[in-house]
Amino acid sequence: MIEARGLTKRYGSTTAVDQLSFQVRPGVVTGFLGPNGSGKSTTMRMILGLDTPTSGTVTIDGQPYRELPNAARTVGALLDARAVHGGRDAYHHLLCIAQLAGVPRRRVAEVLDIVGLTEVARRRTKGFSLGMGQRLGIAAALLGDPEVLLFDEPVNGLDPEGIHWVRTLMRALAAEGRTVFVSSHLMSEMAITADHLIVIGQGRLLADMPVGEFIAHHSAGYARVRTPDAAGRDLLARALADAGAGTEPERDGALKVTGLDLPRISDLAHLHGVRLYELSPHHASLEEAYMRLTQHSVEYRSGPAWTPPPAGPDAREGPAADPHSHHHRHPSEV
Amino acid sequence: MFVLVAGVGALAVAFSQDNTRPGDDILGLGLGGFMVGQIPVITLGVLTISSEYGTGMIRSTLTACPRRARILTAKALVFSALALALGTAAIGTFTLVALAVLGGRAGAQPADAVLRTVLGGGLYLAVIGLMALAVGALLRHSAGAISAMIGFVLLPTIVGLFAGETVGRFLITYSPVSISASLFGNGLDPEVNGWQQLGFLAALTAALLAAAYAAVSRRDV
Repeated sequence: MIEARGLTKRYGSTTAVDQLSFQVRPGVVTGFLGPNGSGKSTTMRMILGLDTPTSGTVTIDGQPYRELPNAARTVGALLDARAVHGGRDAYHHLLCIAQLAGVPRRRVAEVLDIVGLTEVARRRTKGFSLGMGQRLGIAAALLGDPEVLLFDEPVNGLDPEGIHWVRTLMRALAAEGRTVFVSSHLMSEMAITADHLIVIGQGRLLADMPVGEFIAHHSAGYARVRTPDAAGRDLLARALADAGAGTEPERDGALKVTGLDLPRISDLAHLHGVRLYELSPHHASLEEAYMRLTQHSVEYRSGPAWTPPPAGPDAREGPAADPHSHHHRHPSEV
Repeated sequence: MFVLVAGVGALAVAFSQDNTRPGDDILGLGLGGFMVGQIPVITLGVLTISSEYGTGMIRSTLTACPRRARILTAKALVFSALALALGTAAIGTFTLVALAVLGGRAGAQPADAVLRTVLGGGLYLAVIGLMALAVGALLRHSAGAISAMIGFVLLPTIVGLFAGETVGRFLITYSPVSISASLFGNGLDPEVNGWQQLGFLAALTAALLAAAYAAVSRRDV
């Protein structure tokens, strides 16, 4: 269990982490989500006692990391996969950390096997690809067989097979009752990996809730209804509004209907003699919900020259309002 | 370092075979090799800690072992023990070669002089190496820390020539170059012996190490 209370980190006049309070519970994968520069890594470093908070505290099982009696056997972390001595081979890199942590030598071979690096164990890490580096970093995190695991952007640079492997590993670690805290800036990845989400933006807590709740909360479904002509559409729109639905015309002449399920819409259309060319269910994508949530706290936003020219009154709100991105399935999930 | 100290010393011995007379201090021939041999000790001392900052490996290290003072102590102990053992062995090898080759012509060397050169020289290397480690920990930057240490070894002698009487004398007497020379029997100031100068260097190193401990335990990495 990781617990942050009023955690704050300031560098000069910049506040990287601002009054952050949250709990990370054992037995589930907790996703730590935020745009680049939102303070995820700083928070991770404070959890590990590498950076000292300006104010507030963060504890692991009730104690600050640096005061844990056996830190390396309690907590494992992947922070930066490139932070290796390039001249050492994978085996000796892990052996160094194992000896520092008081972990027996045979555990090195075990974790190399878990991450699938046994065959390249004697190769210098300098020649490793980003994906191999990530696997090596994960191996280092697993060395002490810790109860609490922190992973900072673990799927960076991994191919789809690697991403699938990391996801399976995290879920397995959580299923064993461990505390798993994974940071990412990819909502779609977290939606399928994590059970619980902590979302931050500019160092502030934006959301702290189960993934299911986040989805229900932030990606309300709607139906798209298309009629052969505008007269039918207007007639139907009135009927739907009378039945308590919210309606909104779309650019291509279709109708966006919220608050009524599909059979009710069909019944009402039938009742009023309106033919339908289309009646389809849609979900606002989680990515949209996430961007809507964090759009006010993105530190490095593309300049105005990069935003597409506004095509309609609702295009001004940016990607969140784009009616064409309905799918919240990530390609890697297929 | 071993190759430089013992090798350059042995070369000096070889070139001095013809002009050595009875009563000569043959230990002084090792000074050249000793001065050059300090450089790898300084470099390694700095790199012992700064390379971890360079690669970011320091975060893995401090995550695996969050007791930072323990990390610094371990590095300091291993490095200084290694520098002391190898340094003493290297100077010892030079001394044996010098005595074997030139001992016949120059005559026996005083026992306290041999002790001062061999053990004092070994201690000097351990102390200067520890100072390099402390500076490496304070600056966290390999090239910067190595430059600072080389400057510390060479500059006081040069600056001392231009500084005023009191300051200049102090700088020259307690410069690493002068300390090295004293340990090899070529002291510039007859009133101060090599052990006293070495004590000063050790005290300075202790102060820098204390600063390094404070910085390493407090700083964000």
